Amino acid sequence: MKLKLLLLQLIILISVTDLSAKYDVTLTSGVFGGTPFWNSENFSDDYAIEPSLKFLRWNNNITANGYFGDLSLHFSGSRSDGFDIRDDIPESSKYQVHFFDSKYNFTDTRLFRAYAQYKFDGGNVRAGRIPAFSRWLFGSVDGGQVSYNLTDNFSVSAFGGKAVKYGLLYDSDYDNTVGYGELNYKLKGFSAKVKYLYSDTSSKAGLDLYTCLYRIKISANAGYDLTNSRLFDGSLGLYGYIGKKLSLSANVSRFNPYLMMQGLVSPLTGQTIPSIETSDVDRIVLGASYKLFDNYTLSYRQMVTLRGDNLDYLSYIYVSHRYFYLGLNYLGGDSKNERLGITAGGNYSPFKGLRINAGIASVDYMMEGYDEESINSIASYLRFDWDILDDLSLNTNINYYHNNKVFDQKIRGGLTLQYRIKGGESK
Amino acid sequence: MKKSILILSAMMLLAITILATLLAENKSEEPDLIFSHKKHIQEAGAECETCHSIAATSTKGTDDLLPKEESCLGCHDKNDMGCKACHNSGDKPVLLPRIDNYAALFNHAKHISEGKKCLDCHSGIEFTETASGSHLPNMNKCMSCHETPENVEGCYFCHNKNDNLKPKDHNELWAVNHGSFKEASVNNCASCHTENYCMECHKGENLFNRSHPPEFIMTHSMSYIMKESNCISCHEGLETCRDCHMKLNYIKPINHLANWGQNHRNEAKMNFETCVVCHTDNDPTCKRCH
Repeated sequence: MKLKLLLLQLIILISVTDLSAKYDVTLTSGVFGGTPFWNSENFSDDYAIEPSLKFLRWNNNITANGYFGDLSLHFSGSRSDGFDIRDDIPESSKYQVHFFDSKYNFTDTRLFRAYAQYKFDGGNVRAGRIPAFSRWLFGSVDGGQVSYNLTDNFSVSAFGGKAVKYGLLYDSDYDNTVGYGELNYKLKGFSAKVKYLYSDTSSKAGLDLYTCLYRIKISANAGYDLTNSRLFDGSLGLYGYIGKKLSLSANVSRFNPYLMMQGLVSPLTGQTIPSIETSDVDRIVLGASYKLFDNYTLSYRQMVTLRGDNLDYLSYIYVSHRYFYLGLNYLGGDSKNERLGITAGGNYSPFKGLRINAGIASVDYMMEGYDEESINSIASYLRFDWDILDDLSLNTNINYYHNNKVFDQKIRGGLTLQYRIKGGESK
Repeated sequence: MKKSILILSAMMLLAITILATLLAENKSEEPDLIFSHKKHIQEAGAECETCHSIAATSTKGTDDLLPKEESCLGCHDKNDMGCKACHNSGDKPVLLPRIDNYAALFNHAKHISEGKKCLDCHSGIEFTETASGSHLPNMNKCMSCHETPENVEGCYFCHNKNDNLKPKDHNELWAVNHGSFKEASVNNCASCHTENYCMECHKGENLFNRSHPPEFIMTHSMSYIMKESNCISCHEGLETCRDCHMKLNYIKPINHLANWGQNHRNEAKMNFETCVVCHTDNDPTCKRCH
């Protein structure tokens, strides 16, 4: 039923866009194999995929936009089907696609956007499934949204409806009504935002600031959890450059993992576990990039994280060129889990329209007090992006994992074919 | 104690970053040209095309649309006013820097012929006392009429293919802090990126390693333990962790090695919230021993 509804929406949208003044449709179809992932919504305790399972996934995406003057329609969704290709099942049933209600229920349908938008003087209004990207809400909302410029400097935006996780069509376990509003002020490189989020689980209020002083871009965020009466998140970001060669970045943030544990239900017992009080996490990330000569850049990133009494750090230095990069990273600190990593890779374009990317990353884990003091794993990738025609492209990606004790299968990857259809007058 | 040192270090480093940038900033020189748009438009009643007449036929953003001296002399008498009336440097005037790096394919003639007024894009210039380029419209202004293209090809409608369109601040650290800037700078991202662009990485499908590097599949458990990444900024709740660790593949974290039974006590003391991603109250795994 849901599938039919989705297909009906697709057909209507494609039919309507055909009549529009302007439209663009992107169709992407791909096959991926290897370690299965990203289909938990269809999981049942009885039908989990076993580590030894050979697995293929067929993934189809569609993005469509149609514009009729001030009215526009927007759609984005995906459908993914698992192919069960175990060796121990009869030949006749190999490579079959398992749709709904089958024993191995690996299907996955996502609806990220499906809304109508009407632009009017100074604003717009949206209705349908609206993507909601913010620090506090990730996913989509089934409802309405309105944005309006009150003056040249002030604008307001608000949305409300049912929150939807990761574009799920329907999640019976997740029923969360949200309402969000923000007031923006913007003047010549300075902007400020006051925001408020209400949801069934918590409500938050916050302030965001952005400004540019001389050559320094400054952004600051602060959010307060009104339900738990505590700071929810906060950050300060700086970016500046000295001359034409050196750029500096700094970011300080605080967040609390405790807040994501609220209402946690044990996957094993099905019971809600008590709230877990954990320390705030303070994190500082500093970065510097220096253009050496020609297309060579030397970059350094230093991250320091403090949680309770645990101080951990990550240092990352790398040289990049237009065609390759080489980096070294080291992670260590009080958590006693050390990691040393080397990354190297590059890209090459033998002719216009074809880009080849390849790389390797070696990771050493040095864990104090364990039997196996060091574990070395290597990940490598090879990727092709080929624009066969102006509107047709082929992308492939293969990953190979050497000495990987986590995954049963060493290779994973796939390919996609993407086709873009455009029409109407460009504006 | 550690916290104090950390905060102090952070403040010092931030101060150094700010100071270094400020010190490196050359104090901008006073422009040679003395010109008030406000006076000419509001008091003298001049129209934009009186001085910028060439704009109506200009088809490229690199065209020189700044008026020549002859244009000024159409109304002003050089001998009466003297050089210092318009030039700070007196009889050694400095040519106002030309605007040659702004949207190369921008077509003034097309916009004007379609009924656009100069102040639609150059709003606020009628109130300025200077002749600076600060009232050149930014991309937000363009995108108030134009749709953001779905892919980079659409950028070349206005920009040259050879132009480096990537903003300077989109450096290596951008992957870490772009969320902070996005949240604070209102709609600036939408000048170049559509919602689909965000979706490509944020929708949770990592088929092409665009959201995380290839090795992240091996290193993310440690990243989570040490908070190298703020997973919750994208992954709401813990379902994302359980997708693989408990529901799909029963994947053990990298530190669950042979003698994990002896070592997990210390780990739990330090990072208990990491344990409860999988192991919660009445967990049968825990109950076997506890």
